[in-house]
Amino acid sequence: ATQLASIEEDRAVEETHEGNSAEESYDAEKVDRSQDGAPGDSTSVTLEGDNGGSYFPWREELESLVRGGVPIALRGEMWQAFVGVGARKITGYYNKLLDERTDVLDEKDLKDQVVNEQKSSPKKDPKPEKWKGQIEKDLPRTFPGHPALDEDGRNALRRLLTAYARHNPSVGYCQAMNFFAGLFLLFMPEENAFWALVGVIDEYFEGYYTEEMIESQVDQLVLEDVVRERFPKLAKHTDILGVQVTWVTGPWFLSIFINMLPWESVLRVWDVILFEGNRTMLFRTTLALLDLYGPALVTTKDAGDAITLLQSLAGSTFDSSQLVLTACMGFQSVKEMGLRELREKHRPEIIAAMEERSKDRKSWKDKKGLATKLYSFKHDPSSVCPQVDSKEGADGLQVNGDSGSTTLGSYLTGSALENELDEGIDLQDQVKWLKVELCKLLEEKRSAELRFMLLLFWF
Amino acid sequence: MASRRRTLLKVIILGDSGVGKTSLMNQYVNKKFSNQYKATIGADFLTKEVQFEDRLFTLQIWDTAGQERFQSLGVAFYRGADCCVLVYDVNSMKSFDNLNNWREEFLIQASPSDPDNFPFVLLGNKVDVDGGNSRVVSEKKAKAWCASKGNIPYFETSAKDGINVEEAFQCIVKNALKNEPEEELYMPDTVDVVGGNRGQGSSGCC
Repeated sequence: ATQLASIEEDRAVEETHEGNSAEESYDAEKVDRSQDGAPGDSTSVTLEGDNGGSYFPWREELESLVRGGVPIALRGEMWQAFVGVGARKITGYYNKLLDERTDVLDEKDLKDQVVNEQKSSPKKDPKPEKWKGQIEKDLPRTFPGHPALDEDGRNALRRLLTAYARHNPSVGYCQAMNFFAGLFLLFMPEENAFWALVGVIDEYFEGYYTEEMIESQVDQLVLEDVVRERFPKLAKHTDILGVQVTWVTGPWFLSIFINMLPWESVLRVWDVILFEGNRTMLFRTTLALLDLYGPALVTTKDAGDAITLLQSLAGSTFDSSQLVLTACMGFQSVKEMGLRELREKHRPEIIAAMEERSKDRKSWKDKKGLATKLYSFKHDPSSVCPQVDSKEGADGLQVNGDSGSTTLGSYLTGSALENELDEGIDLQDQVKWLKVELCKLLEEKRSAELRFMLLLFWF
Repeated sequence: MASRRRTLLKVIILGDSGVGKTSLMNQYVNKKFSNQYKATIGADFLTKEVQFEDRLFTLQIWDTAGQERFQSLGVAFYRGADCCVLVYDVNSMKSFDNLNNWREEFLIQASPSDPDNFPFVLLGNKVDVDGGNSRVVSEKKAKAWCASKGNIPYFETSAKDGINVEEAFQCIVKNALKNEPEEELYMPDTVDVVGGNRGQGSSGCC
């Protein structure tokens, strides 16, 4: 009865929405309606098999039930069914992951570990799991104040995130997963929550939360395309303001709207995402939000206003039914297949940009490498200047090199720059300092070799 | 877009996870502190109207996620920044050691026209914790780092108690304006509303 009521409510909302809907989505809606087929028509061919083999005759009815909102009492069970927790579950796997390193999942040991980390002397554990520190930091920052996340709740969250990180080290732990895991823990038993998380991260959001976050970046480029196509007026306006919609939508996607929309809306969007088993609903929801707030957005006069407005309007989207209906009906023509094509198109750009940056990073490192060499010249002149073979010159240099390295030694150990040495020192500072040092040497020895070397280093 | 730089100043806050970036931003903009901040995912954003030398500016403050991998998304956020605020926790050596990494990553991704003179400001946060007894990074050490990076202004702050936060952001505004004048002189469609007060001695704010 609850379900029926909510469907009726949604139909009503749908009617209302049609009236106010922006032209851009109105057309899409009309087209989609015609594709929709009569409810309950099990022979309808509108299901395109987006979900692989999961076609079943009453899928359409279920789909509208889901879009109408899964009743809160059934949500846990339904979500597990959608993600296929039962099918994924391997008995004993979760506990085995946790047992792998029994020593680390005890609160007390964890504290020791954090202390060890800070002192950077991980004696106790030769190779602490690199995600541990981040997970610890985020436990109290996951739905802070929520009654379910008391000490037991946090321990469960810790276990869940640790188990996932061990299960898929290519992702490990990425911020945002704490919210997903926390959300699942509110609706299902711990072990099932683990398998739900596995389904979402390994499958629906594959490549999203890995170290490079490539798919996450790809999706934002795809979204930009779709926004330009669907909302040309809005896109033009944001261009003029110098705003990228993805500044706001990036965090929406990454957090799957958690903390970005009111709770009820978050849950309603998750209903659909878990049911559909892909990321299409992220796009549809975002487009629905732009549809709802676009008219207000185009009146903004600067970048700050535009972003603030979009963020705050999204945060007050309390009419979850209107949101989900606008998303699913108004933007039904946004489909996984089309999105996939756009992703293929954009992925190379992202990968190229990433490679470019890693080249930049490498050239930074090389610069630093040079700086370190300049330092080692002071320590061991012969290694850098083997060409100085005149006995007199070499001796002279050696003497000064020694005194120089004493100065250098005290300079390094006596000051805060101690750990700078490992990471390299700014090249410019290095050159300045070397100039001064070399000038001193010159004055003292006036050796021709030194003058020659000075020239070498100077230019 | 020519007029963008006129009134809008974009500031990016970077630093390790949990050093208090969100708290600093909220203390400055909303004069509030909460023990219950959520981990920032991707980036968050607040604006504040500020007055500086008789001119009004809109400060756009970008709060970023501290986990290292989110740096991959940085390009979009960092571009066009007028000042970069680096934050570390005075009670965590690791957060201090990572400053080099944050600074470099910013310069690589934002690719400012003059990286050597791009304005940074360093904040050592959480000086209130444990009455300063758990502190592991000395002021001297932090200042030496700042000196080695071209005299970056440095503030010791407590977002919790509101110590030095206002002062730090005053300095941030001042530094964000440092690169402004030349660019604007050639903008034909800008009108100096308040009167040419800009470009005068805006160095050494701390």
